[in-house]
Amino acid sequence: MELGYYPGCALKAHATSLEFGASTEAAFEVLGVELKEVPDWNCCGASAGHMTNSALTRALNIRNLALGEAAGMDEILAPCPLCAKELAVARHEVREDAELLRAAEDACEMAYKGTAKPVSLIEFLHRNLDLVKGKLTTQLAAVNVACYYGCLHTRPPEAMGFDDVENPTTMDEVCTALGLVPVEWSHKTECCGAGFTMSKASIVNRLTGRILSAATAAGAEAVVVSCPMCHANLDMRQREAAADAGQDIDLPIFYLSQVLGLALGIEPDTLSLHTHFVDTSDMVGRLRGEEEEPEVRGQRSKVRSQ
Amino acid sequence: MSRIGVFICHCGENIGGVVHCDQMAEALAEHPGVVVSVDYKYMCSDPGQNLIKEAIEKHKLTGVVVSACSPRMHEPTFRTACAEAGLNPFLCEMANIREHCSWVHADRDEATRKAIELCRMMVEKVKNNQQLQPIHVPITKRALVIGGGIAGIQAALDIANAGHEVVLVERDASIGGHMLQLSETFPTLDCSQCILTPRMVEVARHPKITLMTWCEVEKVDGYIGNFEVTVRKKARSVDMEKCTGCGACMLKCPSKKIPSEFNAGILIPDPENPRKKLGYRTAIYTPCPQSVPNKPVIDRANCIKFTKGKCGVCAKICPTGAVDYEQEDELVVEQIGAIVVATGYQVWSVAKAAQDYPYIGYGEYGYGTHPDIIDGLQFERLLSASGPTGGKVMRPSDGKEPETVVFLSCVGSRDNEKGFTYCSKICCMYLAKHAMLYQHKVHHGQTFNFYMDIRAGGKTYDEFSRRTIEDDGCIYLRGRVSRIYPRDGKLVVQGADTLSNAQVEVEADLVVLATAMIPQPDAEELAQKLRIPYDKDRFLSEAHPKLRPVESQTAGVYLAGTCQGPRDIPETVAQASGAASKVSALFSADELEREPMVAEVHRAAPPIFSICFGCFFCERVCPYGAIEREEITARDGSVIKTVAKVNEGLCAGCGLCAASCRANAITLKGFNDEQMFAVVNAIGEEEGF
Repeated sequence: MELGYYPGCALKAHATSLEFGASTEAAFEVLGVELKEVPDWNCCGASAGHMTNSALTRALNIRNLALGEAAGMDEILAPCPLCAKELAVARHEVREDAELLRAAEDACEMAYKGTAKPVSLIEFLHRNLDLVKGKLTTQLAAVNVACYYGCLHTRPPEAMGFDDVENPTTMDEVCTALGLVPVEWSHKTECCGAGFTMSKASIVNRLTGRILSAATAAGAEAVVVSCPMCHANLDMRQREAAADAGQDIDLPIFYLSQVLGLALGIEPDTLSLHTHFVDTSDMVGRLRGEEEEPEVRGQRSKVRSQ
Repeated sequence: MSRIGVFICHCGENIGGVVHCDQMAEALAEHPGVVVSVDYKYMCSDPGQNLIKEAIEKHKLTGVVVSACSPRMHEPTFRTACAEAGLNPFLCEMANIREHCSWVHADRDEATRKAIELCRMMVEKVKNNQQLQPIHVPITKRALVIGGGIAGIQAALDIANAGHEVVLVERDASIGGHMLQLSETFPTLDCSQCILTPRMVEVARHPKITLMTWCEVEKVDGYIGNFEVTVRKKARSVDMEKCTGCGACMLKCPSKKIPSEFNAGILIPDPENPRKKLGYRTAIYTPCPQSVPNKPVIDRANCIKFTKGKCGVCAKICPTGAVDYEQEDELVVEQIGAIVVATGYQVWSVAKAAQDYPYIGYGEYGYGTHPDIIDGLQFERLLSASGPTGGKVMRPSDGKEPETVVFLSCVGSRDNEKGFTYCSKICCMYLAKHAMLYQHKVHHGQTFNFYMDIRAGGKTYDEFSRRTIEDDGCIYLRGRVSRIYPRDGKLVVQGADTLSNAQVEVEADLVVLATAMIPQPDAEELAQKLRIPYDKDRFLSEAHPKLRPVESQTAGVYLAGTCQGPRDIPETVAQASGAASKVSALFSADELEREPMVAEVHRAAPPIFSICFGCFFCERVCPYGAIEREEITARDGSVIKTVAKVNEGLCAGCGLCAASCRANAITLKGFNDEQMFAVVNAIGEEEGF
């Protein structure tokens, strides 16, 4: 099985979420799905582009889709939800309005028929759950996890057309298949503050603090995400966010591709689990069934808070 | 030789403001066969009609064309005028130069040219018109009312009190419908059951009403005045003749844990025994103590005798031997003259698992995942004296009295994204009532209501909702709720107050969702059986939104209540009485006069002959089941061939059969080939096409 692959800037070029790229590529190799990178892909225009010039953003994304289409790709995996959203929105807009399509085609000097379409990591795994189940080498330990979808996974609904917009459940279903126990919780799609992490970290700390304390209150011992921005904020800002929430929080933050990789028997280092800000080693041990004492984490937290 | 009169109406400015009517009259006067052509300001007025009548007599007209508005508006007016002047009314036609011309065009010269063409076409048609006679159909003076809620009850009583026979079919074990489930009614706080049950009893006792509960309409054949309706009498497993309604069987039935439909499925912990719950029914049951008839049915899907083969307690306990496990469904055929559809509504279940619509739903509200998030109908049962708690407000999770209750309006209504586009109309009022009744029962409690707009249009309705806010202290917050989730034994309701531009968070003990009012799950199926149209939301369509609100498009089928659209009790009752008066008017004559524009299969004599060769393709295309079979026999009685025959009572004159007949043996009266070709040939004649 072959699948188009649009890694975008976060997974590749700047490597701010090197872990997401590395684990996705490793996991798909074991799944037997060959990821074929879109040749000569360009930036999706996220944040900067779509806030300032919609025609430019549309053209950037139509070019990426057209390149994939020319290379014979029907579906293009865009693990980063910002990329997936920009590609899906551009595709949705030009399918609705022939004028916009013509303008975008003129700008990028390529034709786009509309056959190549983006797919997010969650949607692909959810749709191919039988394939995933067939390749698992182990069931992960039944650890309570909070599946955090973030704001973009299902939005805007008319372009994404997938899952319940306000209360998505597909990532929970994938995690259940891996052996994890997703908790019912309140902040699945709340905002993490996203790009404010650069310009006004206090906002991110407050919003992320709420998400982390809601996950803790629901009994989660780890959070699973599928977005570089979510991961950066929940992982990198966790100490400040916990302080903002006035709580002692120690939640390892995993990419969906990382827990998938563990269940496929891939070594933690290959999945880049050692490059997180919040230490994952104890939880990885538990997930892989190497450690059986859930109390360890609680005790350690106590020690730290003293 | 034809002698046609053309009468051009200005319709005030409507036509006259765009079309040059005087030029038009001049042009038509030159048209071959036209002997008189005049224009007038209001042709539908008495002087206008007199103009036509006088011309018919003076010029001995053989046809009339009135060039005015849509025939849907005034065709009967002008045809009657012609008949009064002694001309067969079907020799009068209308050319629509208002909707089809002046209203949609701005250029006066072009519009005039088009109006002239439209008028010429009708002149050519009228030249080929034939004298037709109206069809007379006998009427069976017996009405069928489908649905035994307040709409059906009212319609049945009104028709029966007018002296006509009524068959009332209800699919539940008792009549009463949703109104019987309500606690008290806005805006007067009448006890719903107290005002409804006398009517239910009246229905049961009325000598003209045949009450058929636990029955469903299976099939509808026939046409206005002459319907043949097959009703399925579902096996009740209880002999109605023998049963006295003593209720001993219900007390002894061991299958006690079935959530009661009458209690809208709500279950409350029993304060006397916390391990038990209130709100269940037994497998042999009546929906409630006031049921009419007060005789039980066996719910076979949940009965131990039917599922496991053992038990039989009810049969043993019954003092009259009324329980009959062997009973089977029975089909009965009723001869009916008119049908009132009063099938009502259901409350949309926004729970994900129960979702059978292509809408995304409200997963974020947690309905179906947390017991203290309930819908409006369930809260009615909590408030009702006949409810599981006897009217004491208790929350489903732990039976405690809720101290903070949050109400959410428009869950699914007026929501293009996740629900339905329409307003459910009753929620603003019933939520105000809920908050008021709760406050009357729990004095120290606090209520909140998240709303979009307060729609309290109706006599004393606004005063009522103001009372809830001002006297009963309900805090109304204008804004939507984004999420509801449990935290520390409370439900956190997160929302926006758009008037103070603030995010709000309310910690509630109980949350009530006013979910949308939607048609019954099988509304489409019934509409198809009755051959009546329905809208995109599956509500049944009225014949005209303003002028024919209680009639369906199919003659003889009338609509009452919420099957047609969301409405409250007074409106439902008014509509039901309206439908009943339509039925009574229909039944006031012995025969029904119908327009003769029906299909006709070719016949020639002598001896009787037809070019129809009996392929019966027409039978397959006819949406009204109007094609019958007739045998053409020789003198000795032997069958020569079987040909099609049109049932004139059933035929709606759509013309599908005529268009699809391979032998060209079918003609639509008033629209035959000669007439249609004449119309088409008249188009563009001036330009020499």
